[in-house]
Amino acid sequence: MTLKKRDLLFILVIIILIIAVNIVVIFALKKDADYVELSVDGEIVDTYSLLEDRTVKVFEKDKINNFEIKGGTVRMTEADCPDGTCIRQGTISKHNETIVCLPHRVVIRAVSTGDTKDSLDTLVK
Amino acid sequence: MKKNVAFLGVFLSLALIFSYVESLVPFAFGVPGMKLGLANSLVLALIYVRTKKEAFLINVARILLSGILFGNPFSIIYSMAGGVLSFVVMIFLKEKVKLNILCVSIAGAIFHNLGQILVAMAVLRTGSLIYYMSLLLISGLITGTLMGIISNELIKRIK
Repeated sequence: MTLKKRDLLFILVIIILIIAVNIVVIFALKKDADYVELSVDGEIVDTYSLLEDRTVKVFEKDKINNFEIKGGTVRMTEADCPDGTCIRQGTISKHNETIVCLPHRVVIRAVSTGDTKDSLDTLVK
Repeated sequence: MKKNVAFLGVFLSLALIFSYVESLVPFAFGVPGMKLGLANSLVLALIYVRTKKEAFLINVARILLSGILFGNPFSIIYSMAGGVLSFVVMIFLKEKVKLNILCVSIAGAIFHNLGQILVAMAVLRTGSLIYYMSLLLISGLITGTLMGIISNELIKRIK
């Protein structure tokens, strides 16, 4: 049994295919979040549904951290923290994704209520 | 001709025994559809030592009989889809692309899984089964390689 060039090429294609499918599945398996948890100083302050669009001010005064819920995604729109990393983290929408503002100790975490494995439990034989 | 019938009969019964053994051993690892494909290695060997017509005949007969004996009507549908799809792909890769038996075996294993998944998706009307494909691709690569080696040894001894 000798492996020719085309055989090795075939095996390479299969391996690439496996990697590609796995990457797609890992991303596709992530469920869309249903609500976000807002924590300040490590404590959950409030939760907000992603179903309704709104803008939330985290702090009443002194500091600014405003985030926006729009079309099921969350984005920090305004912040006066020194580094501005929270704004650059962009939008989140999937389960367990977070936006973190370290200087103000603000964490916004997207949460999905459903169990991600639920939809996969079907019997094939 | 008489010798031919006896030869194919032995192969068919051997394939049935392999199917039976496979149905006894829970090789699934929690992933439905994952199995060794011992019977497939026989069909693969038949493609090489006999004609594809005979190999196809044995393949279909094996699926029908093992479905009736050890399975249920649904398992026949799944196996048939996987068996026929993998057979067509194996013939194509062997005769048109002229790949090594190892590669033909891997492709056969993967497309067997793919055929089953597609039918399951059609029957259950759910797209989420496609997630199994990532696992079944890997298992197809491994079992396909193993069965390819077995077929290769088998062919050497039958010829």
